[in-house]
Amino acid sequence: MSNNNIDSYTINSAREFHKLTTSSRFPPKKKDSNTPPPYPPPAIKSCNNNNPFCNHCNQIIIPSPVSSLPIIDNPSISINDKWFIITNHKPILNSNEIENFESILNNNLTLPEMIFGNNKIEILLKLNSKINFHLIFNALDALKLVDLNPLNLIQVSYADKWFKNKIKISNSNSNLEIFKPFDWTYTTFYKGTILNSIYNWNLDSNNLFQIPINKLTSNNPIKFFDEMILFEDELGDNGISVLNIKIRVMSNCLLILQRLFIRVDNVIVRILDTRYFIDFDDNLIIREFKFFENNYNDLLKKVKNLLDPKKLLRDINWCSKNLDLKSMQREYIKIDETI
Amino acid sequence: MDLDSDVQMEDAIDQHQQLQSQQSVNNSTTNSSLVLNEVPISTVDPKTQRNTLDGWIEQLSKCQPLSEESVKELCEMAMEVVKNEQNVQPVQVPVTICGDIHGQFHDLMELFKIGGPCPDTNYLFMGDYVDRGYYSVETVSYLVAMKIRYPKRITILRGNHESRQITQVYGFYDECFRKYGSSNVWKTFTDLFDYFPITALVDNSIFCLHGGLSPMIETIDQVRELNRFQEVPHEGPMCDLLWSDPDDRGGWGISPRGAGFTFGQDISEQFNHTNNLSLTARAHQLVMEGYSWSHQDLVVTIFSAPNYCYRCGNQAAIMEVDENHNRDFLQYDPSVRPGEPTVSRKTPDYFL
Repeated sequence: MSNNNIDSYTINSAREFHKLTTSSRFPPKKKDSNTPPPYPPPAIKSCNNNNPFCNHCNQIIIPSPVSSLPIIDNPSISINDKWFIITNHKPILNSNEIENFESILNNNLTLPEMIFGNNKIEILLKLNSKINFHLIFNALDALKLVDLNPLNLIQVSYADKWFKNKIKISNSNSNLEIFKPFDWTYTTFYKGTILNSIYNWNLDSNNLFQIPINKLTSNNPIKFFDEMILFEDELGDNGISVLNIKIRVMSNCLLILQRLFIRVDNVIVRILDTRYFIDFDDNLIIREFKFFENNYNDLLKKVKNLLDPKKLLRDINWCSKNLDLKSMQREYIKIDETI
Repeated sequence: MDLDSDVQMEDAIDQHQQLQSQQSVNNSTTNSSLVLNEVPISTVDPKTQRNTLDGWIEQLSKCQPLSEESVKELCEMAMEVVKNEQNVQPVQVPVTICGDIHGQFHDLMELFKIGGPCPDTNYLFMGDYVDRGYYSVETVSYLVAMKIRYPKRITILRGNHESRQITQVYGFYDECFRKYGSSNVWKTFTDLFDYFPITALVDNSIFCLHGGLSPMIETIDQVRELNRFQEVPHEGPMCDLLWSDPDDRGGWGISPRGAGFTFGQDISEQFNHTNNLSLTARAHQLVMEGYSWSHQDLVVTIFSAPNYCYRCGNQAAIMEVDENHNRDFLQYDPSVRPGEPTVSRKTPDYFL
């Protein structure tokens, strides 16, 4: 697994990345824009004129050649005129959009500090111009599943001390209470939204449908890659809760990884992974959900010989390899094209 | 609050230089003008503070960090300036009030372009200079250097990120380690942060602070009585002033996190009324538009880091308050600069 995540940003990699994006933005200009790019095989198409194939590496160019700030981008790709993959990038929600979100959620929770409420990843399967399967990932649906009255409300490490102080005040001021006792870590068991599916999920109780690593590690070039954040909150500077989603599309399959990383400093570390593997050749969809959790201090014990051991607990990749798996669930769909 | 508005604003450095040139004159038995001309223009000689400081500012304005020794010296000088400021530092109009910066150095330079250069424009910063952005060291060094250079023209308050504990988690500590190879510079700066004033009062009318109100603070005089020279505590009035948030619900609320207050409109009304204020200005929370009114215009949130964390795509804003207390918000967009990613996405990643 590569080391690309927010935590591993360094100035050098940022510069390198910037160089890469700026250089890929300007492929050699073609005078006749109607001429199709020479390399892409006919089965794979870009659905968006802003995201043509790169003439050099044969990959869809992201971000679009015309950069815009605030960041707006919606690249897409289609496979065999059956599978359509669309992603959307926009800035965090503005005040009006936040109000709208809050009313949909009945004002029961304080929204995360950064909500990329217009970001989405969308997967469509169209057969005979009928939508047979429609999957979408977005922040609003993820937040709908946040527990509004959890039995065990996680508290920050110094809550006890703070509450003692609170009791002193509440003697004089009796209306002190937690207004919205929602799960402020934004733990959500969101696995994407199925907008439409004529197929049913089957539970993989016999472990027959594992995600085939060999297909994902072969030298199959990535035709389309995207990564986005759906929401992020710094938990009042007590850690982080970030819902991140990545997609890569190869000629024969695609993989989506939605990862919710939660770290409450000195209290708990959680990762909730949802993977979708779609095999275009075998007409198979696998959905795998994994829940990892450890006590902060238990996880800290796994760090050895480091000057600043807590640094690794801010590294999502390291945590994903060292946290204990608490539960998992795998389901699959066999696509019957004759339906 | 007894500041006489007729008193000409002075700079500490000018005083220092006057003192220095006086000393040079006194020490010299020869032609005094010759001696004055001989004051060497150097960016390294610690004995010629003015030139050192201007040299530092020039270097920092190019986003080049100072040496460890210079940072130490800078912070010692800054401490002398800020430790004598009050818990509720009086500020006069006109002034431009700014929110979080978070190490986004180039956006800070943009801010000075939008708002007008310091010292021509007076500035009040409400904390959170470090963490998250790539240039916390340069950002805080620059602001501190400007504070020493123009102590009456720029006011820098403490934010909740100006603390040892928070900076160890959110980037400033790591950045210092990366840029200096040790935590010395981090220690020097965090020691200085303990001396930063925690609130400011603009012309007895606008109360400025990083977070918000505290149930233990009813009058501004109670803020004056606090001992601020310490690490930001986990609880108590000083903690609340740097951490609390306004909320739509009335009264005092407690965050479900188990620490931290929210305050409702009734609280703001009472506080502004008791203290004869027209407005409470605060920072601390990201807002897409760069500023946001709450509690029917009794409280304003100002956020001055555009495209926060290089991925939010938000606007930034600063609030100008003129001699007649007219308020004007200047919003500005992030701009694409070399060395910083415009989006959070990278080259294709063979993730599993």
